[in-house]
Amino acid sequence: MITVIRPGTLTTVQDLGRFGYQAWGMPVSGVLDFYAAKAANILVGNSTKAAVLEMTAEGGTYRFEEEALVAITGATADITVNGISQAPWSSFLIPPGGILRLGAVTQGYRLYLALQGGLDVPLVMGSRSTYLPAGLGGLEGRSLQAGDILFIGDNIRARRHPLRLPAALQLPLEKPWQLLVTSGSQEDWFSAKDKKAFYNSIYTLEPETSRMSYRLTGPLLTSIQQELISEPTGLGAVEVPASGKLFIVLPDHGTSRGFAKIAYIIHAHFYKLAQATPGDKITFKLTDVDTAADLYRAQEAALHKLKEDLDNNSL
Amino acid sequence: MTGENFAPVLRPAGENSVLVVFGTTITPAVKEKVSSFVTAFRALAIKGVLEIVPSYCSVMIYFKMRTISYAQIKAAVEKALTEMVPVAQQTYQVLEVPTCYDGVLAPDMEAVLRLTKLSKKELIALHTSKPFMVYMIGFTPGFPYLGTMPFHLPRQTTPRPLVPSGSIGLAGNQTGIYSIDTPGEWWLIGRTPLAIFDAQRKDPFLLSPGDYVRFTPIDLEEYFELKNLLIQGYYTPRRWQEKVPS
Repeated sequence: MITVIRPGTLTTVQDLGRFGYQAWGMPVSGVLDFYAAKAANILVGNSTKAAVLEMTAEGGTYRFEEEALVAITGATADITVNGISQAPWSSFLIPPGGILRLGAVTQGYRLYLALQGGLDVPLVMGSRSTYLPAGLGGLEGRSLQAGDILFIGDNIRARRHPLRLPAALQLPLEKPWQLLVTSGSQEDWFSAKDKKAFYNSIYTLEPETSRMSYRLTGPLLTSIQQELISEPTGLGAVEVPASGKLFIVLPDHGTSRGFAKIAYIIHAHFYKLAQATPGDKITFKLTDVDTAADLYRAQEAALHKLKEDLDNNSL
Repeated sequence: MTGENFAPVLRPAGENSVLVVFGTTITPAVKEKVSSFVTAFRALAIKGVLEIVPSYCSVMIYFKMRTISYAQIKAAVEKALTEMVPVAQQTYQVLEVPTCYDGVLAPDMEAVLRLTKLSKKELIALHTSKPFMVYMIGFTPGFPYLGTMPFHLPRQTTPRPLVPSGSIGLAGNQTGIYSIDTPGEWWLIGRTPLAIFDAQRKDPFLLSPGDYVRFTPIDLEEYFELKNLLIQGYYTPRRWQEKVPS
């Protein structure tokens, strides 16, 4: 059992998402930086589908009423247990009564906390992810509050010992963020001038803590004259409404939306989307779907190798 | 461009999904093609397909990149396009949605009557005289976009900060049912005691894309009576199969 002493800015229970209901308007939700969340679960011996805490901008303070093996990945922040500093991208034991304190992020934006056994919250429509707008999933469908109690699950895939992740497995948090994208569904609706502006400009991420969408400051793309009838829209879509301002679609977005899409951010770079901080500069570079899929599979292969190495005690 | 002579096109939508577009209008003909394609694609039972998501004019297919390649999905889509046949379905699933069009449950009734120059009796008759098709479900989980009304309303300029779930709204030439408490900008002409979405229910959604809704008028007393019966589990929403004239 864990008591939330201070919850941080926006801390929610998430897993890899709620799939199968988008046709009924149910967003997928789930972690944004799936690489960091999966790595954290692997470090503590969980299935990568186990529920974790996603913490935005700052982590908060938690009292562990029982011993737990914990891993924290994603952004960089001060991590202490009973005042003793702990390494990120590593797993460590918290003794009964131990206080885990996570400071404000110093690099990146989202932290992921996995516990051996997973977070024990009810499955709602096949997932433990919190979907805030409908108040469902996670802990009572909301973000964590001071005084909340979290229970640790008993779904342990493999026993693990405290361990630090090889540095090579951490993805680089390099600024300015260059996001690789594939063509959007209405890419051909945009003028050559708009496309040039999109691929050659530096955009700035506006402050936003919701998980619906990001807005970008930068050149407006105003060549779209046609109205788009709402169509299914996926995570990472770069949308351009009539105002010409760019939006990036996040996990809690509506399943169908009526905005022209100039591009889709590739899955292998969702971690950059998750870790870019409001005010950060972003650029876009075009790639093709095959390269994008290869980059995703390479990340998955690295995670799979980590799991095998840990299972074989060869790290 | 009409739905009749628009050749289906594949549009890019990221490395794990393909968008298939069947038209550029909100019409039964286009919606019919969307449904036919979904049926044909489902029948192929492709391994690695994560979700098939239909909308007004298009269908998105999300797939698992670890299981199937983009080229394989594209080939499957093209196969389904050649194999799709008009949905021969003669009957449709219809859900009865008892709706109270009175008092506080219909806060925008007066405004809508002014805009449409209809009497309340005429508006209720238009809303209850025929079943409406679910063109799409979205906005919030379970919110059905139903069409079509014989008039066109502008959006309200200022959204209401909180629309109670069950509210029946009008916007454009469509009508819809709010599925959760949410901010909203549709004109509210009534409310149903039915919970068209409930994540805790075994079947969370009362409606699927392609179903029909028939609104039936009830008064305030019946509204609260039904609401109580629903809470106590003594009322099951009425559904039936019906031939729907196109």
